[in-house]
Amino acid sequence: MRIGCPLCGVRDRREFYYAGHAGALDRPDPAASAKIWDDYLHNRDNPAGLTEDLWHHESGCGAWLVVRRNTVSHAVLSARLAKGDQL
Amino acid sequence: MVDLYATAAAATALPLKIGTVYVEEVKTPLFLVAPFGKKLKQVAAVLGIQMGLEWPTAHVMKRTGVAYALWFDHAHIALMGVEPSAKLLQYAAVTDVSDGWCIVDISGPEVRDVLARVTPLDMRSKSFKTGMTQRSMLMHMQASISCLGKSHFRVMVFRSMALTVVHDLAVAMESVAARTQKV
Repeated sequence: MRIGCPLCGVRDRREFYYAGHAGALDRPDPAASAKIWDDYLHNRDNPAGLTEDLWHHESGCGAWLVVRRNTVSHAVLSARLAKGDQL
Repeated sequence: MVDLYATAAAATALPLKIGTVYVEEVKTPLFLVAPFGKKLKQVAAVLGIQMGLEWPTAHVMKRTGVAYALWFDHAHIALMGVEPSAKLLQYAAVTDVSDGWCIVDISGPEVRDVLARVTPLDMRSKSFKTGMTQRSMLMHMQASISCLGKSHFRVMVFRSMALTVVHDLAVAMESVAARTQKV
């Protein structure tokens, strides 16, 4: 498995650390209801097809990436910096 | 008071020559520079005016005399071989990490073959050119690897792994040297 880091180029999976669904970036308002927070923290879809994950390029540039991939074909489709702009 | 003195990270193990490849430790100032939010242009300007260095974009290493500015990660560049201008402090967090990293130079005709055994980077000269710097793994260590010349690389790892990097390089150097031995 290889991931195309926007900064480093295509690198193999050993350089990255997996950190769950990219939904973690959409943090609810602190005043949001318990149901919304419960959903944010615990409930995940298990899609057959497209999904977006957070990966940390820990042995490379150290950036957090949002990686789009297909759980059926295992294809890695794209990767972008979680923080958006780059240095 | 106890009289403290600095020691080199890999002093007991280097220099080392195996086959055609030579490794030596480099003692040089190393500073990390992280621009404050939206201050990239100001940092680049100070770098140019005060230090005569261009801002290094991803994978790039700029050099003026003994001073290097190299891309270091998604949020930092590193200044090497030179004390940073105090004017940088207005626009960036500047950290002296000179004694936190073990810096070694590795050179020789077969240096690319040696490094290819310890890092997943494409070490071919058409891919890893002089003036390029990359972050990747060196065995299990997070390393910064820069190309100073066609057969000359600078490798940096955390100081705590100084003897490990020497060991891993030595094993690779022995293996490459063994391939050229006539049986």
